[in-house]
This record gives sequence, C-alpha cells and structure tokens, in this order.
Amino acid sequence: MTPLPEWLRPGFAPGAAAPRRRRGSLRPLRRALAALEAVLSMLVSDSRDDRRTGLLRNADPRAKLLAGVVLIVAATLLHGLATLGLCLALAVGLAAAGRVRPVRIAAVLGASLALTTLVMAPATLDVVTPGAPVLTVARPGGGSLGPFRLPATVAVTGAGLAVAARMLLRTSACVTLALVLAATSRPQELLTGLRALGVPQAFVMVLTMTERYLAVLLRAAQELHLARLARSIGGIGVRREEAWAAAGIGAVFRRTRTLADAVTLAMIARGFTGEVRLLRPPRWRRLDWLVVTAAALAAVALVAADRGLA
Amino acid sequence: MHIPDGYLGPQTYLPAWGVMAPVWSWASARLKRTLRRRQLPMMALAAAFTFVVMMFNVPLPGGTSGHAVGSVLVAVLLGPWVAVVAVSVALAVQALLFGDGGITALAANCLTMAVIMPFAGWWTYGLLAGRAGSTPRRRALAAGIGGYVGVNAAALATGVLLGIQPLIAHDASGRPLYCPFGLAVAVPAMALPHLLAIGFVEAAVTGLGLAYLMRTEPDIPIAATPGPGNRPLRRLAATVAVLALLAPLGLIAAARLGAGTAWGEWSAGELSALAGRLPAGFGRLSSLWRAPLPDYGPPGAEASPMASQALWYGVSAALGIAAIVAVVLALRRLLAGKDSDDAAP
Repeated sequence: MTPLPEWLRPGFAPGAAAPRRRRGSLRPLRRALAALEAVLSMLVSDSRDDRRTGLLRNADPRAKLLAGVVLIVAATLLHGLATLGLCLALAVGLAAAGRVRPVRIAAVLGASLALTTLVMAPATLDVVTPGAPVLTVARPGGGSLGPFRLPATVAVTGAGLAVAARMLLRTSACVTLALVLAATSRPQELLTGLRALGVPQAFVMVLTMTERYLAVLLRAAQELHLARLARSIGGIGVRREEAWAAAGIGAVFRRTRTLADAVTLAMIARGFTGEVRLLRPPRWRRLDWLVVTAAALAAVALVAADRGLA
Repeated sequence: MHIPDGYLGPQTYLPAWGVMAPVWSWASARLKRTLRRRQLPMMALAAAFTFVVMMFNVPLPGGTSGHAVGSVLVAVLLGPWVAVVAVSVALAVQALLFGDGGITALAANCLTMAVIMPFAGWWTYGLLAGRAGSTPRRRALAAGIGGYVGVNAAALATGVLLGIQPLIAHDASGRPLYCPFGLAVAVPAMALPHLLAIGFVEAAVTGLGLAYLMRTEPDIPIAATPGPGNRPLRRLAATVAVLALLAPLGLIAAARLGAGTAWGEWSAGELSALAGRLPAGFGRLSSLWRAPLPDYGPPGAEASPMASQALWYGVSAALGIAAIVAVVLALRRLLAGKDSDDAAP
C-alpha cells in the first residue's frame, strides 16, 4: 500500500528536521525549510534576551558595537592561554550579566567548540605541529604509499595541543562576544550603530533596508519550499532537484526586481531624491561612554598582561 | 568559506580592510553614476537576494547537499559592481546578526566572496557567452562555467589567506599563532571540495537560474551580455600584450639586484648545491618531464647575454598566452557547436 505523504500525516511540522529512517531525497528541502524558519523567527521576533533586566539593556547600540569590536580585536591579539582563558571568562561573564539565556550561550559555544575541535584535530598531530609526543595514536610503520612516505608513528604533541587550545579559546571568546552584541540589541539598532565605526551613511541605509526586506524574500523562499514539500511524495532525482532549486532562486530574483521597483516608486512618492538621510541618532550618555571606556581598558589590560606573561 | 574570527592575524585582516575600503568606495561611486535613484532599494534587495540564495540547499550526487554563494549569478544579472556591494552587505548581515563569519575577518571574506568570486565568474561568462545574439543555452552554460570558476577562485584565495598564517605569524619557537595549517594543507583542503563538489552546486545554481529567468522572462536585462559597442576582448588583449612586454623587467631587476632563484623554485642542480645533497625522490621525479623551453628559453640560454634572455622571456610569454588563448578558443568552439545544435529544427 502506498504510504501517505509526510504533509498529510498527523503532527506534520514543515520545518522539523528530517527523520533519519526516511530516504534522503527530501532532506535538503526540509533542512532548508528549518534554516529558513530559524532565520525568519529571529528576524521577525524581538530576539533581545535582556528586555527587562541586564547590564547592557540601557546602553546605546553604537556604544555596545564599538565596545564589542574593541574586545574582539583584543581577543585576536592575545596569544597566551591564560589571557585567552581570561578573555573567554570575561565574554561569558558579560553574556551572563547581559541576561543572555544560558541555553543560547551553551548552543553558540557548543557549536563553536565542536567545529573548531574538528578543524583543529589534525593540528595536534606531529605531522602538522612537530614537538614532544604526548600520545601515540597510530603506527603506520614507515615505508611508502605510492609517492607518499609514511611516518613510523603518528603522535599527539604538546606543541600541537597548545596550538589547538589557543585557537579554541580565541574563537570561543570571539563568538561569545559577538553573541553578546546580537542578543542584547535589535538587528535594526545594531546595523544603525555601524555609523559609530565610520561606515558611510549610504552603506548603513542599504544594510538597514536589507534587514527590513530580507524577511519578505525569506518568506517567499519559505512559501516556495512549502509548496514543493506539500506536492511531494518522494524524491525526484538529483538533477530535477537541482533544476527546482535553480528555478526557485530565479523566482526569488523576479520577486526581488519587482519589490525593488515598488520600493523605489514608494520612496520617490515620499520625496526621495537619491540623497541618503538617516534619523539623527541620540546623544551619547554617561553610561555609553562608561561602556566604551570599560571595554577599551579591559582590552588594553588583557593585551598588556598577554605581552607581560609572554 | 566564511572565515571566523581568530583564524586570521592582524597582519592579514588589517591589510584586507585596507584593500576593501577603496573597493567599496569605488563600487558605490560607480553605482551612483549608473543606478541613480534606484541604487539604494536595488542594492538592499540584491543583498537580501544573495542572503536567500545561500539558504537554498542543493542536492549533490551521493546523498549530500550544499549551498551556493550566488555572487556570480548576481554579477551576471546585475553587474559585478552591484555584486561587490550586495554580497558585502549580505556578509555583514550574516556576521553581525547571525555570527556566520567573523567581524575582524569580514573584509577578508568580502575580498574572496564579494570581489574575487563575482569578477572571476563575470569575466569567464563574458569570455564564453559571446555577443548579445548568442543562444540562451550558450549563455546558461557560460554562466554555469562562470559560477564554477568563480567559487573555485574564491576557495583558492581563502586557502591562501589561511595558509599564509603560519608563515607570517608565529612565536619564537616557530609555532603558529593563528590558523596552524600551511599552504600545503590549507589550499588543497579548500580547493578539493570546491573542485569536486561545491563548484558544481554553484555552477548548477548560476547556469540553471539564468536559464530559468531567460525562459520565463525573455526580455530580462542581463548585465554581463556584451553589447554591440563593447569590445572587452580587445581591451583584454591590449592589457595582456602590455604585460607580456613588461615581463622581462622582473628578470632584469633580479639580475641587477643579484637575487638568486625564487625560493622553492630550485632546479635539481641548484638544490643539490644549496642543501649539499639531492633527495632521492626529487632526483627521480625532476627528470620525468623535459620542458621544451626550460626557464623560459632554449636549453643553455641562461648563459647568454641579458638582452637575449629578455627576448626569450618575451617570446615565452607570447607562446604561453597563445597556448591559453588556443584552449579558450577551443572551448568557445565547443560551446558554439552546441548552439548550432539548438538552432536545428
């Protein structure tokens, strides 16, 4: 008997991850739907974690952005494991003080740690980072494999572990600092705050408009995926799937052009002459200066300690 | 391909910002002249479109899937300078709001995905697509090849940016401070997946996407289609000819400054003299192929006067260019053959 299509079964959730037992033909579609829903929900809902309480809730996004960039740059200048650990602790502390949800911190840190560990694993071996062996992991026994000469043993080295630990701590600190920025500011505010870093007005306006219309195009892409899923029982083969994806992208491009024309006409109707004007940002308050000064002092202290310890 | 924070040292990301600042300034000034009042909404929507393109999962043979960048498609449809701004804005939104790609590495990511990729793809498309009258199939094929070339050029550039980190940033004991993988690891690690899999996703999205648009909207303006007045090949030929004439300058300057052979480009004899011994594998493999013009001249030319060596250098440049042009023309002929098949009833 032919089984019911997925979308007719009770409890069907379009964006849910594809079940493992099913054949993989619809998995790219469902994976894309899940990603689209995640991005859309972040864009259309207020993603701030610190609406009521939190250390940074009253700080101007420009000050937060400036402070965040200063600390991230400082993190890229640190080399000692102790100072990098201190920087990570500071970043996690800021996230906690800013009332970023622990689940969100754990998810971002976990993903960053998993990915960096995977990428850095070969760097711990003596074939990439020579040094004193700590643990022998394989014994190829020498000899050669075609044109390649095999080593007698492959071992994890102390130097390799130090290199990998440095990269793990640095990327984790940077990712956590970026999370503090994203989780304690509205997207629109964060992009407008780029003016404080000297980004030209036109670029800031394009960025804010992109953020505004991104949801519209993402919704169009989501509808395309849902329509395709609702009409699918099984896979249609890789070539036709690729053709469908390309046609979907073409359809989104047509929507892009139509929307751009409509937005242009609407802007012209409201007096747009091509000159970029943004709302005058509010004056910096004492708290904003305090945030930036504290970040700068922390950055200088971390770099000085790192150089001193080195 | 998005490089996160922490993988590139300031020795790399600061120059990347230095390179991108004038590129962004030039791109926005150029667009201000061409797009006028439509510039801002079109830029914003093109950036949003690029972002959405990256959300489409495209299946690959073998059960896996990948996503395209879309830079080349935007370059072909709207022009490469629109692609520079649109992809840069999309990357900035990804880095700031979604943590995809680093904030310090943003300029480096823009250099690879918003400059190198769209221009490599756009030039390839312009070279293979022919004039405005060429058939949709030829243009879609050219766009697909442009997508493949573009994404591979970007992957190669990313591999180089990561691979030079151990060379330019290491501690006193020689241990790398940033990405620990040298060029020998980083370049193949980036290039191979793109050459074997991801490049085909980009090619499919770019070629089939353009084909869909040409079929459903036959009058759609395509930025990269050369008009009857444009002569991009003539300009390219003039630039290449000037570069070929200037090629011997490097040889003359090296001789004047007393510089030896470039590091790592030694012949078996030079390596043997430098190291005191010749590795067995090197000796065996170095005699596998005898080039017709070794060191850009006939055998023994290195002992001849500098003027003669410079002349041979120029001749070698001309021969090399001729060989590349022959390959490209053969490819064009191949694609043109497909055109005539289309035209048949």
